[in-house]
Amino acid sequence: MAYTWTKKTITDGNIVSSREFDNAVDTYVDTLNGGIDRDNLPLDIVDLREQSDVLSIGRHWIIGNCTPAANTSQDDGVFSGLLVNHPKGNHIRGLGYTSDIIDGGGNITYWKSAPLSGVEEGMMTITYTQSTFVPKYWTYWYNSSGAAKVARKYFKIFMKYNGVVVYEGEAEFQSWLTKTHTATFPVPAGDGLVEVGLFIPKQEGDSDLQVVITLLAGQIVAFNRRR
Amino acid sequence: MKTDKKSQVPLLEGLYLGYPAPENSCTRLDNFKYDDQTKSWTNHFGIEKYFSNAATFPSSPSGRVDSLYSYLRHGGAAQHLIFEQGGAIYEVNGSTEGYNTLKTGVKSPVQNQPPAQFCEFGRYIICVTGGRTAPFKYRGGQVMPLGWSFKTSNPNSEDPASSFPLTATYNDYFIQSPADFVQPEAGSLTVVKDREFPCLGSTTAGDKNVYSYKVSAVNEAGSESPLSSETVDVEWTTQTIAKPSGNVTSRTAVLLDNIFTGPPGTVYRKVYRTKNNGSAYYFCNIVTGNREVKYVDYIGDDQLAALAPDATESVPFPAPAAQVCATFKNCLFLDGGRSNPTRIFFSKPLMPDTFGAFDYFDVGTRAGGSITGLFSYYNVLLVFRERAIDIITGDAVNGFQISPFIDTVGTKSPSTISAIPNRGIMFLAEDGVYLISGNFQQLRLEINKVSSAIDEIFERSNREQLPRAVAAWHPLWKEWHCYFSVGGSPLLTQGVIFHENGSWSTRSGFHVSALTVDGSGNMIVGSDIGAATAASGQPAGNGLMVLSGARIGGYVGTTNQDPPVEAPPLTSTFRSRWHDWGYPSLKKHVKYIYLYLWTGGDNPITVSWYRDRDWSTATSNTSPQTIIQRADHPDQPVYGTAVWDTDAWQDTYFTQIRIDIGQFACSDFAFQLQTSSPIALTGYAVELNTSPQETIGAKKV
Repeated sequence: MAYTWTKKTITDGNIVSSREFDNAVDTYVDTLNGGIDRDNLPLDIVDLREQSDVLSIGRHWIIGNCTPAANTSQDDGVFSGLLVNHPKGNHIRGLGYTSDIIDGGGNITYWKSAPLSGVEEGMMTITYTQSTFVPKYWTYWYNSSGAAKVARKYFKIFMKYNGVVVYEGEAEFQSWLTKTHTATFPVPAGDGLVEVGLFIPKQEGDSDLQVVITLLAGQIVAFNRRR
Repeated sequence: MKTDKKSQVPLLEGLYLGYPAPENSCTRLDNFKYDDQTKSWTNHFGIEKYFSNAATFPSSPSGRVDSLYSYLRHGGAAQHLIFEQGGAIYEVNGSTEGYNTLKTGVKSPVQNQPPAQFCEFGRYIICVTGGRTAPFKYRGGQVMPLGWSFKTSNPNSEDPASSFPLTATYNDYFIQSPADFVQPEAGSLTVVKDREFPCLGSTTAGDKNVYSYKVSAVNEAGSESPLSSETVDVEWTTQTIAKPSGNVTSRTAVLLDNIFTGPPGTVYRKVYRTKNNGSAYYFCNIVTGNREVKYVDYIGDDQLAALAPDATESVPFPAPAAQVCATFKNCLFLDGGRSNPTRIFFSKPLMPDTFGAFDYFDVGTRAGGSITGLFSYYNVLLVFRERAIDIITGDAVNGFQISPFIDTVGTKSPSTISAIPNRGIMFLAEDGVYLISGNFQQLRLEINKVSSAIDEIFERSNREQLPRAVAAWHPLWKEWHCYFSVGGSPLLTQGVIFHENGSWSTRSGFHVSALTVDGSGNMIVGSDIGAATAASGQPAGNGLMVLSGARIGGYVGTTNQDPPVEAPPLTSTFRSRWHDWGYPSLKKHVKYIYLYLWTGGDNPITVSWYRDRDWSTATSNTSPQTIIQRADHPDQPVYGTAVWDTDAWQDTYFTQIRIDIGQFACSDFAFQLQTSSPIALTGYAVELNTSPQETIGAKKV
């Protein structure tokens, strides 16, 4: 929206023309009613309270730890302090192929947000930071003495918004990894449901004893900008 | 008083500078606009600061505004007002009431150089300056170069080691496919079957493997850069690798380093590769982003599909000094600039940065001069030259064709080429203004001169400064503004206006150096003064201004050089045509002039009259000051004296204001109405008595 300038000057000596007066005033009224935006509204003219309450350009949701429920995790069958008195005392606990939510590999949605109510038509930015640990020892350990196939251990993070995949990450091979995944996409007005999940290669000849991935703390921030 | 002859001009039309003048014309019409609703000429306008509430003009930048353009995005929600001033390009920031710098180091145009030219291509605004700065594109936020100004450099490729574990030199590497861990077949050589990471090289021990790479960059507009030259061949020999569970062959991935990173706007790089011992290049993979310089290639030969584009598909940007641009049929058209002035280059469709090696025309094989303008109109692209106009038809799929449209008429003023609703394309040529009109089928594409009525003005134009002339259609006032230099002035001091009724008038006192129309239809102008302050009584102005309904004639300095103050409203001048009532030799005694006006109030006007084609004041007479109220009715209330809630709101009435003329005899008669008071003039009538007196005998030598 551009600036609005004088449509007609009302000066002394001019006839008090009703139509001209209406046109001149209507220009101001029209501007006030629908013609004010960032282009013609001076910076800092609105104080902070008004910005957040009335004229905010968006809203955000900070969502805390979004990892699977603890009871879906299992102890690793080899590196587990529970089964083997390992000399280094390592204890790996996480999602295994027998976990319900992994169930042998593939795309797994392991977390859904509560509905984000009041999403405005505009853009949604979801930023998801997740720390992960993928035990790699199994590949070497298991295969060193046999010829069975072992699934290559990696994962891809994906995010869905109202059931539509809006982000699919790259294959991550690192054992220890903290990575931020961000997706920005247009959204309609209404409620929104954020889901995050990951892709795990399907199980090959691996033992069910292993932990495939340990999901440590994860956090989502969703930011909805509107016009 | 009884008069024996009456004549009237009920509806005044525009200016006509010539003899004989049409019935409804006039000889001067300065600073008027036409109101089609009342068929009257009004002066209810002025020129004011862009940030009209600011007390001062911005002091920086300073100097003449050289170029100006406005474009909208997001359905008008975002407006970008871009202008060039003082060697830099800026964008108006409405929130801060200031300017954001887009580009510095722009060489200001010389007097005979056109302003920067802009055209819109999707979400981008394209700007070319004739080599004063590199062409660029802009979509808000970031300025990005237009075109790929260089050939992409090739990456470093290193030979992998032939064996694993490494036994070769320090720099060797060997990136074994993870598949080798997956499917070892005991006692035999494996056939690697990994889908995602099969690796490169023959599976037969002893075979020599040779690969070569090229890379390109792709920007956010979807344009792909020219391909780099090929890398040094990557070579190694397949060997057998012993593993505890069996033997595999030494297939490896290949490491590329120092991959080219592109200019701003680059979103990924594309890697092309030969097949093993092959020579043709195929698309291999993309390297996302514009930061990573390493790439590890695991892609097997059978996974390569599309052939790499031919080297002629994308070449380094051919028009870095382009002066004019236009978008037509999804392609960006550019001229070659001053060093290559008869060549037109066009981009690949929807890719404004990608130019093929053979995608150009050369119009230099015919007379007509350099290319000076490009403008798309219906299904043709008009190619303006100095003294010719060509048209380009066709499309990118079936090929473009260029053909001559007209010789001898062209333009040197690319910033004057404008689309006029209901009429066509109007532009300023050396000898006046022309209009191109026609239908979609170009069967009746016509060109006509439309400025014959005011050709005298164009005779005074400064030919060498025509490239600086500017013009634009004012959609709110329904008039075409054109400003150019006359009388040797380095500034665009002469304004001519083409009105919606097909007539002409002039504008003066506007100090215009650049023009554009914003999203709301307001005409924004760049000031040619370029100074925030001025000496007392001298015009002041800097940066952008706007033509509005404000009764302000710009700004002037004051005695103490404080912020300049508003100048009085513009002076509007109307001069009737010369009337001889069909027989100039007969002397007439004009008695009355009736001005056909819409009542305006108590602001006074005066009328001067002249005889026998002499505009000097020695033979003129001037009427007393007259208000624009109906003479035989009570005065209508006016602002300043009207009482709120007592006086009634008024309509303006069509009326006649009679001016009494003193006794004098003349062969030809004309009058002038010059005023700063707001008026709406529709026409006039003249009453006179004729006498038997005739022009006396000629003077003897």
